[in-house]
Amino acid sequence: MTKQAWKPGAPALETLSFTVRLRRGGPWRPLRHRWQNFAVTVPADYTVVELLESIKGHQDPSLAFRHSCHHGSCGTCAMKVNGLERLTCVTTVADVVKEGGHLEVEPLGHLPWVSDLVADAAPLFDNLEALGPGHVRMNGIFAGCIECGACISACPIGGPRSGYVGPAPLAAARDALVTGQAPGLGWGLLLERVDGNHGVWQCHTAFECSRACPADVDPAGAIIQLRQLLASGQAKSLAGLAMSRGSAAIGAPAAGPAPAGGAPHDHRPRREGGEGW
Amino acid sequence: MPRVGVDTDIDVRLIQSTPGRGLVQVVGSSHLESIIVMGAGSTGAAIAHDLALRGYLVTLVERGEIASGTTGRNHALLHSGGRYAVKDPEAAQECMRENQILRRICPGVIEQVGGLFVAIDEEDEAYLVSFLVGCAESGIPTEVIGREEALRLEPELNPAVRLAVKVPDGVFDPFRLVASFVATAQANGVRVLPFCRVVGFVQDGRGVSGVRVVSDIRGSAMELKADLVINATGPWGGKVAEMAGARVPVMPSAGVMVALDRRLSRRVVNRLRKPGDGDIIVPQRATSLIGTTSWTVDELEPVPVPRDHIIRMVEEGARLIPAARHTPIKASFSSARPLISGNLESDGREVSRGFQTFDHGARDGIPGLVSVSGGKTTTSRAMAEHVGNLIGRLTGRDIPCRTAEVPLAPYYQYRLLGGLPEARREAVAP
Ligand SMILES: Cc1cc2nc3c(=O)[nH]c(=O)nc-3n(C[C@H](O)[C@H](O)[C@H](O)COP(=O)(O)OP(=O)(O)OC[C@H]3O[C@@H](n4cnc5c(N)ncnc54)[C@H](O)[C@@H]3O)c2cc1C
Ligand code: SF4
Ligand code: FES
Repeated sequence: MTKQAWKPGAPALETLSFTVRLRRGGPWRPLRHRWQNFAVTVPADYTVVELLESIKGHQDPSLAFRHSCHHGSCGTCAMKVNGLERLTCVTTVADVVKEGGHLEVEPLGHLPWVSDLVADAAPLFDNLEALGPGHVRMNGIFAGCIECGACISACPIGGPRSGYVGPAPLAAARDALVTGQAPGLGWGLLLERVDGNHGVWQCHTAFECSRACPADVDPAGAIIQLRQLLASGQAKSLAGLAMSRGSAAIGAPAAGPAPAGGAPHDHRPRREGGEGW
Repeated sequence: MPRVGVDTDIDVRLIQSTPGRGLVQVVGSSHLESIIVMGAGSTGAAIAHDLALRGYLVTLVERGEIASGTTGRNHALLHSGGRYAVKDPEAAQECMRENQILRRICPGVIEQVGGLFVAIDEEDEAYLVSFLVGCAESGIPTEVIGREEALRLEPELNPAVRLAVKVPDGVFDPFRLVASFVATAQANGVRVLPFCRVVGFVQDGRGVSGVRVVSDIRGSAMELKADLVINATGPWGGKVAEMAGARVPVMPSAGVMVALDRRLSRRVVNRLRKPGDGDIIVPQRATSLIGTTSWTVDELEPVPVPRDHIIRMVEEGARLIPAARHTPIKASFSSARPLISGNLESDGREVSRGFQTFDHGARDGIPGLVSVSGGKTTTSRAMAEHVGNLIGRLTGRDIPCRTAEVPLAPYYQYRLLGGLPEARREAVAP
């Protein structure tokens, strides 16, 4: 359900009363972890993020959670809601709780826990940068991934600490290969990582990542495709072809000290059509 | 309950900044004044970056994640200035200038799609001449195209379209734009403390010499000392300034946006008429954002999303692109402009879209505190330049601004935990 258009004169929107259970605490906090309950009555079409904002604003200002765009495009607000990964800004409370029921919200799993509902996406960013098609994640070419981390949290193999490269980064590597855009690490290391112990062969094909992904990236499909490309030797040929075209230079990691103020900003502008002026 | 006490290792003067990966630190061995910036929206993030490039010792505190206030939830339009060309040429010129600068310093967070102003009825068509004159005077390049060409470029446009004007509008990714500013600031030694709420000020008499914060990562209260404190908390600015006994006449003026679940156009589509409600559709990532409205609010947690505004947005949007009516709504959301006004009765849209800085030393006899409010994300760099110049005057230094030339670091180098000690980063939620 999304926020339904309410017509003037129609009956007032339903509200829901229920208990929210929130995971509180964190590795730096004096109280490492506990559950805290809040009794709330909110409009049924409040999103889970709006619910958290109202708890922070009116009940407990110390509640920490990530959010930014409120329309499913920045990827900051992924959390576990009743045990399943969700983008909380496009999930309404009516989607996930009934009158008088319980709603449980936790931070994403497998990523470093920061505080309360906040997990740190930095390891995901690092792996995407290493394996993704050279800087084109921002061009929207990497299959619309919004870097939310839901797939990492849902994956039964475990997170970056287990060594496993992970669903989104593997999907990014697939895109690098099929588009011929060199990854941050370069082609040799990409093949080594993807084909190595912690690459595609570690996946159990549980498909949890594709279920969890709010942007329809289908990382599991990408992993299966990568296996086929590796098994048939086509992955090597694709990488070789891209290298011979010299595209390796596009995404090569920055060498040497950068000018003051910023790394050489060699990602090209995003274009999704239009003339670009 | 948070532990209360003074965390001495947090005095910003004592902090050794850590340069980021591969980036050269600008701060020399002799640190200049220490400055705390409150609020990491586009305004505070750009200010922290500007001041770091000038060599100040900067700490950026934000109560939530960066860009979790108005900035993250705005319309994502990199203004060409066309929207202001008729009524406010100064704002239009500034938009155009900053539009070009941002494309240069952070191309990776901008979709360079261009924009159209479309005339649907006779009245729109009559607006054309003043629009073109306004754009010409503001240095905004335009190209008038006929109905056929407009429909060829944007097949889903209302077939009643009479003509259209091409302008260099763009689309930014608000979270990632702020992350780029913050990543660059971090690389240049700025200590960035997200999830760190300002709850009061350290004052010697009336003067401000620091802030009292509660870190929701550490679960403890701390005092941060600094020579100057800048209030860039957007629509919260009035409440924050009040804690120091200062007055900032912020009038939060909210706007609703409706995100449709696909891109209906390649370009930004604006209605060719005097700015009003629901007259822009911005294609952003996988959505189309229709917006916006404007009314005064006092509730910010969360900013309300009136149901009738949602209907109005869809109806207005459908006048530009009829498919808006049948496309599923992915989300509807609102945020509040930090507009400055003495007159609380007036409609937010009529109040200046410009920004203001308040030196509370000169205004209210509260030295050490400066507030900045208003503006646009498109012009955040220029606002920061202005604030940087003011800080230069207050600290008696004449250091030139360099933000128009220095490219920003990629957004993914922003580190949420960059301002915290190394330990315990590996814990995973139970
Ligand atoms: C509906 C709407 C649409 C808009 N569309 C556009 C557009 O398309 N293009 C454009 O260029 N501009 C647009 N704008 C304008 C632009 O979004 C704002 O001018 C800009 O985001 C303001 O940024 P800011 O940093 O001043 O405020 P915010 O982004 O609100 O930042 C203030 C920060 O301060 C933090 N804060 C608050 N209290 C405290 C505290 N006690 N301690 C620490 N931190 C605190 C908040 O969490 C917040 O992150 C739009 C504005 C609105 C409302
Ligand atoms: S692949 Fe999907 S679930 Fe994983 S980070 Fe990207 S958008 Fe999120
Ligand atoms: S807040 Fe941006 S995806 Fe939810």
